Amino acid sequence: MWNEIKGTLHYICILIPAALKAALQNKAAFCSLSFFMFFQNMIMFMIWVIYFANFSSLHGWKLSDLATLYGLAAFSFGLAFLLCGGALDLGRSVVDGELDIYLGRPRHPLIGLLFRESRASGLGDIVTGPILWIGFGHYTPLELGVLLILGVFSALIILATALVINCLPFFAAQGSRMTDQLLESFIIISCYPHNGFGMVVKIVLLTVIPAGFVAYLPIEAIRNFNILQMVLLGCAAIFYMSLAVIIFNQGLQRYTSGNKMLEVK
Amino acid sequence: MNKSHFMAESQVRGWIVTALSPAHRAFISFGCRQAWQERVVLLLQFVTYTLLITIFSSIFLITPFKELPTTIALNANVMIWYIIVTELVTFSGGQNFQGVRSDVVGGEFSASLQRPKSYFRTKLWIWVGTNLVRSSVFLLLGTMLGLIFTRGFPYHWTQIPFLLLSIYISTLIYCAIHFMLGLIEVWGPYARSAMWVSQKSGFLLGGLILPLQLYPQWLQTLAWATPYPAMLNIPGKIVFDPSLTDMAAGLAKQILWLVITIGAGFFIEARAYDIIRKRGQ
Repeated sequence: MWNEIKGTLHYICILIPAALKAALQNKAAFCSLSFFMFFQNMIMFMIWVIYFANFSSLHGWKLSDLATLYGLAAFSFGLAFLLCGGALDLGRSVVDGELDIYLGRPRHPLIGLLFRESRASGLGDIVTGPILWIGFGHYTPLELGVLLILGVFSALIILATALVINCLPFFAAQGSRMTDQLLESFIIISCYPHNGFGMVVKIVLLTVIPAGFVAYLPIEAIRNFNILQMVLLGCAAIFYMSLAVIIFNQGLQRYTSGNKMLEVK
Repeated sequence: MNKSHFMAESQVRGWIVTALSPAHRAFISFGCRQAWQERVVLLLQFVTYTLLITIFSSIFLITPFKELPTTIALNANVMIWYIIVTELVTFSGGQNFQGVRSDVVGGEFSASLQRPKSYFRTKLWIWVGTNLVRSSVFLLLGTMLGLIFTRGFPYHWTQIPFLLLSIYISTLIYCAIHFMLGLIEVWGPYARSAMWVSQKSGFLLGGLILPLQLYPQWLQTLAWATPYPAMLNIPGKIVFDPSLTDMAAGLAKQILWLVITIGAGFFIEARAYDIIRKRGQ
């Protein structure tokens, strides 16, 4: 078992640099995508700066809290898709029968599928987080460290959600047409404060649609420096990732070949 | 007097008939059918639209509007209707950027060089049809959401024609901007980056979430020098700025920006065709 885990980690350590190298083939495109992603995040955040120039607070939340929320959401989305950009194309691969190539490999196909591509824009997102936290949040180095760890948990939850959404084509013929839109909805819910919602909506956002775990709950955890909430976030990340793998495995059983086995070699 | 009036009228009628040739009518009808064909995507966009309106309604309901100066008459209900209209424009405009970009990459744009009508001319007329269906559908949903969240309808019947026309013109400006952004791909793989920046600048400078009236003066001045307020703020602010002169002035600004963006679209298309003629696909 230990050897298998070691082997998988080694495999991932080979796949990540390979995907990054491929993304860096066109350095100008990589840099421009990263820069413009960062730039657009900052433009979008300006709306909150204007909001707090007119209003003193949003149900107790200040600009620093919004900066933390927006930064955390950007950081986690960036981290998830810079490393596992393949998750975004998984649904299309299922429809096109591209899974054949990965089924022929000795490791679990999901690893190859997730780490096959790196999204350059992710770097722009990753940079956005610390800049907003340092610029508006006034956090101590310890709190910044905690935010980074919470960001990794959020990235796992985002990855798990993207994976589940992209597994839809396994179960529904029209599924591939829905994936982008569903993920966009998830991003939207994750990037805005949830403190205006009622209890029922909050429960939904912490169970069926785990958007509450991406940024809202981490912010509450860091605001109150609640260790229990932070541990809960870690557990949620493991739970949703495991659930996503189970759903992927279930879907894989329904997969029919795209006749691309020849490409295995 | 009567004769000249008759001549002017027949000239206008003649212009409409020429403008809406069988080809144009076919494109519009194609656009309508295309929008209806993509019902599944439309349904999912409904979900996203509803989610956005729900999120912002909850934010506006806990926003302390009392802190605003008395000169700005905003409250939660007005803001909910404002965002219903601005988001409606972005959703009705669709994701034409992606289509144009893939047509450039896939060679459809180059192939249009051989056709009697240019790519932009064709697309523009198709979008006239598509936006008609999409904006009608989103208008219905938006009105329903507005009634649910605010339990009231803030518009006077005299404002309705202005509002409808304003929303429709906005969606066309939106499409023309998307066309230009998608076409950037002819010059290199920069369309996506340009789109992100333009989209978010549009959201900020157009006043997608907060009306420009809440912005600092320097940012308002900057915003009004761009087409974005004509796209979002003008139809949105009808709810809290209902005077007839303001609505008419807003409509005039929108028509001006529509002409400018369409003109710019044709200009950029001509440059793109030049490049393709020299360089090949």
